[in-house]
Amino acid sequence: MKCKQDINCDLIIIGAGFAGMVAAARASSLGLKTVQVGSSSSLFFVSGLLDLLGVYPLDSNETLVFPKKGLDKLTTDIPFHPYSKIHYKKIIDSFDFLKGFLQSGGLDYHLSRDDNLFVLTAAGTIKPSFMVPTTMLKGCALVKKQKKLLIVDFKGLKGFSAKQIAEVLYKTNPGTRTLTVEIPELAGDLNPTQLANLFEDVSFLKYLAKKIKKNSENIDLVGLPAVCGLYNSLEKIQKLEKMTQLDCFEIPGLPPSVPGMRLKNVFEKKLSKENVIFLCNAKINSYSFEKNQFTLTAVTQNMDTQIKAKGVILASGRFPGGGLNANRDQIRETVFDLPVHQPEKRNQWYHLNFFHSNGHAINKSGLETDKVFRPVDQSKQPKYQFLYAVGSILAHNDWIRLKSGSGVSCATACIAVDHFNNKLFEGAHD
Amino acid sequence: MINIALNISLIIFTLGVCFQIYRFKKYKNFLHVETSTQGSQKNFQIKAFLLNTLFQTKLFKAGKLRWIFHFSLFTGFLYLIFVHALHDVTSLLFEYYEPTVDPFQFLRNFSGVMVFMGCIAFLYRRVIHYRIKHDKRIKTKGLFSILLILLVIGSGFLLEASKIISEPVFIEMVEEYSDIDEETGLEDLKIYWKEYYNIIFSQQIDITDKSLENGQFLNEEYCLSCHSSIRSAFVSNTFAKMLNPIGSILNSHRLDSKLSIIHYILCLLLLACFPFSRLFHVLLIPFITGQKNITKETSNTSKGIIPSTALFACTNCGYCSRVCSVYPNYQITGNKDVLPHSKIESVKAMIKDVSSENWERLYQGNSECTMCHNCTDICPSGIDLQCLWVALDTKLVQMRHCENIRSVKDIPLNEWAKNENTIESLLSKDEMTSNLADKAEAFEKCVQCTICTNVCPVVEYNSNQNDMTPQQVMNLLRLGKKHLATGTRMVWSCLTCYSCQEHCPQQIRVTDIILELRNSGEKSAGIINKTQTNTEVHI
Repeated sequence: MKCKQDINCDLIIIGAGFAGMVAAARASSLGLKTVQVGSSSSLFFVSGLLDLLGVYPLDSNETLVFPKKGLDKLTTDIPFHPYSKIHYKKIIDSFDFLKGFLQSGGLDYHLSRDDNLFVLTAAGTIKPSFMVPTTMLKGCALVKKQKKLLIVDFKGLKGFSAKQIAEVLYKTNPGTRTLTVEIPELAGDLNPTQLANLFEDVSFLKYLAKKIKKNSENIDLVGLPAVCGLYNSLEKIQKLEKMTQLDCFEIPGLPPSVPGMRLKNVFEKKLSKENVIFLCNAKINSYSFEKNQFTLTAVTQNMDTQIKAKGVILASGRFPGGGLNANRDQIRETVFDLPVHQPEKRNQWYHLNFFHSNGHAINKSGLETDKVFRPVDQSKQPKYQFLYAVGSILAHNDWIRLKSGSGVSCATACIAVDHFNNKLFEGAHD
Repeated sequence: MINIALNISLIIFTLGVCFQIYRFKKYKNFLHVETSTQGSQKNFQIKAFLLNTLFQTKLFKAGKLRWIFHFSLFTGFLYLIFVHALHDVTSLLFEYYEPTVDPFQFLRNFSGVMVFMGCIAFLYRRVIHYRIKHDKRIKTKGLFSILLILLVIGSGFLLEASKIISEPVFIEMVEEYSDIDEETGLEDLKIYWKEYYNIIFSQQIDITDKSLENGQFLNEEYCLSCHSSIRSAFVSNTFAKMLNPIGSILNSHRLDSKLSIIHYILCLLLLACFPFSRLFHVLLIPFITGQKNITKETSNTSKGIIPSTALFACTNCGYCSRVCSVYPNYQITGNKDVLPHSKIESVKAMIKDVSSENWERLYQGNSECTMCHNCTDICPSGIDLQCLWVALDTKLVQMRHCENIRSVKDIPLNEWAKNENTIESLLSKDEMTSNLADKAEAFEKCVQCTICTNVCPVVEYNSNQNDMTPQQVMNLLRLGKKHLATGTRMVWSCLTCYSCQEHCPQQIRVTDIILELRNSGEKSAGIINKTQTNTEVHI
C-alpha cells in the first residue's frame, strides 16, 4: 500500500544536485517555504572545487587568471550564455552567499573574489578554480612557490597515485618525493569513506604523522588525497600540521569524492534545520498548472506526495541527473516537456574531431530562458510566470570545457530564487 | 554377607565415577570452540574452591533461605558420614567416642534433623517452584536422591528408637558389659532403665522407690560411662515413646536387627547410586568453581574453556532463569530454550544424541541471549554459563543448525560456484516479490561508480571479511551470474539500511535486489548447508 500526503509550499525545487542545493539554501535564507525533490547523490561526483570560469577563449591554450576578463569576452561572444544574463557582481555575490552558508555549516572555503586559484589535482595537473576548500589552499600556486613537496598516498586507495603526481610535477617541482602509507587493519581495497572515517581517530592521525615525519627531510609541504575526514576536515589538517610541524594540504581527486560528501552533508544538515522539506529519491511524475499554482506529484517507492506551489525551480540537471532524456528522434525535458534547444539531427550531436576547439553541439543543448532564467517557448516568452530553470540544464552552457559548472549553477540559482521572491513579494502587496 | 554388599557397592561406586569421567572426556570436544580456547588459562582458584566447597558462598549470594537449608543438609550429612557412618575410623580421633554418649548422641540426632529439614525444604521448593514444576525434563530430577536420603535418615531414627525400646538388646548389653544377674539387682536396673531409658519389657515390673535407687546406683556403676541420658536423643526418644503400645511385639520380632539391616542396605544403596544421581554434584561443583571465572569485564579479553563437566554440575536450581534478561521473551514466545536452565538440559540431551533435540528451537532460544552475564553471576554451581552459550552458538553454526543467514557466510564463494548446476534450477521465482534480480532493467543502468560501496556500513566496518561490495554484486548480476551473486557475503551480511539504494545516482534498487537475492537464495543455501554438513562436520 502506498501512502499519500499533501504539501503546500511557496517553491518546489526539482533536483538536489549542486544547483538545486544552492537554490534551496537561497530560498530558505529568504524565508520561503520550500520543498526539494530529488537525489543528492550527484554531489558524490563533485570535486569540491567551485569554478567560475577557468578557460576563455577556448582556443587560447592558457588558463584564465582573472575570470572577469574572460567573462567580458564571453558576454560579447555568446549572448545566450547564462553568464551573459548576469552582472559580474551578482555572480560574486552568489559565491559570497554560498561561502557564508557553507561556513555556518562548518565547511570552510576560500574565495579570492578577483583571480582564479591554481589547484594541484590527483592527476598532477593544475586546475584553475575560483572558490576552493581551505584544506586545499596551501596546494595552490605551487609552481610559483617552488616548494619541496611530499605527496602521500594510501595503499589500496584507487585513483590516487603519489608517484603519478610526482612524475607530472617533475618539471615544475623537481624535488617532489612520495610516500605510500599502509594501513595494517585495512588490507585490500580502500574506499575514500573508509579512509575519511579513519581520520576521526586521533591514534590514526598520530600513526600518519609518524610516517610523514620519518620522510620529512627537506620537505616544506605535504600533499594528501582529499580524504581527511568527512567532518571538520580543516581541524584534522591542522592537527596533522601540528603533529608533523609541516604544512599540509589536500589534493582533490576522482569520485566518489570526499569533499563532495562534505558539501552534501553540510547542505543536507543545514537545509533540514532550516525546514526545507526534502523528498529523497522522489520523481515528479505528473504536473498541472491552474490558477497560478503548480500541482506536482512526487513519487517514491512507497509514497505519493502531492505538492502545491506557486513557483518551481527546475534544477534537474542533464542526462545523468535525468533532467534531459534523449530518444531516437530528439532530446526532451523530462518533467514539463519544455522545448529543448538542440541540434536538428542526431548526427550533428558530436563534432567529427573529438578535441575540436568548438566543442560538441550536444553539450550546448538545453533549455532556453529569458533574463531571469525562466524557460521560454517558441515565441521566446516565459512559459510560466514562476517556472525557472537553473544549473547545467541551461542551453549554450558548455560548462565542462569552460570550467564554469559551479559558477553557472550557483549564480543562476540565486538569481532565479531572488527573482521569484521579489515577484511574490510584489504580488502580495498588490 | 554385609561385607560382600559393602564391597559390591564400593565397586559400583568406583565404576560409576570412572564411567562419569569417561563420559566427560567423551563429550569434551563437543563444546570445544576452535578459535577461542587457544592459550586460554586454566587457572585454579583455591580461595573460591575452598569457600564454595565448604560454605557454598555462591549459593549464599544467590539465595539466603535456600542456603540455610542447603547448608544444614550439607553439614548434617557431612557429620553423619564422618562421625556416624565412618565411626570405626574417626572414633580414633575422639578417645571417649561412643555412639550413645553425649555429645555424639545428641549431635547425631541433631544432624539427622538438619538433613531432614533440608530434604523437606527441597521437596517443598520442588512443589511450589513453578518453573521446575512445569518442565517435564527436570521435574523429577534429584527427587530420587532426596527420597533416598530421607529413607536413610528415617530408618536411622527408627533404628535408634527400636534399639531404645529393645529388651533383647538390653539383656545382651547387660550380659556383655556387667556381672549383674537376677540376684544382684537386674530387676532394679530394668526398672531404672524402663523409667529413664524407655525400654519396653515384656513382663510387668512394679516400680518402687527402693529398687529405683538401687537401679540408679547400678546404672552409675556400669552403664553411665557409655550411655548418656536418653533425652539427648530427642528424636529417637520421641519415636520410642510413640512405639510404646506395640513395643513388646516389635521386641519379640527383633525389629532392631531388621531395621539395622535395612538402614545399612539403604546406606550402601546411597553409596552405589552416588555417581549416577544428583548427589554427584558434591564432587563436580568444587571442581567447577575452582576454574577461573570470567566476569563481564574480562570476558572480552580472556576466553574460558567450558568443560563438559560444567553441564552436569547443574542442579536445576533455576536461579539463572529468574535473573535472565530475556525472560519476557519466553513469556511471549513460549520457547523454553530462551531460559538458561532449560537450555542447559537441551544441550545435555543434544550431546547424548544430536538428533534428539529440536535444534531450531534451541538456536532460536540461544540467539535471543543478550550476553548480559546475569546467569553466570548468579549460578550457585559456578558454571560459566555465558561461555557455554557462546560455545553453543558457535557449535550450532558449525553444525549448520542455524538460520542460513549465519552459516552461509562461512561458505566460500567457490563452494557456491561448485553447486551452481545443481541449484540453478531451484532458484525459484517468488510471486510475492518483483524478481528484480531476474530483470535486466533493474540493474543494467549501473555505472559502477562505487557510491553504494562508499556509503555501505558493512563494507566500512569489515572490508577484510567481505568478499564483494554492493557494486560488485550488481556487476555479477550484469554478467548473468545470479547464482554467484547470491553466494557473496555481501548479500548475507547486508544490514538492509538502504543507504546504497538511497544514494544510487542511477536509482537502482540495490538493497531490494540484495534482499531478493537473499530470499531466493534461502533454498540453495539450505542445500549447500546440507551437503556441507554431510561431508564436513563430525561430532
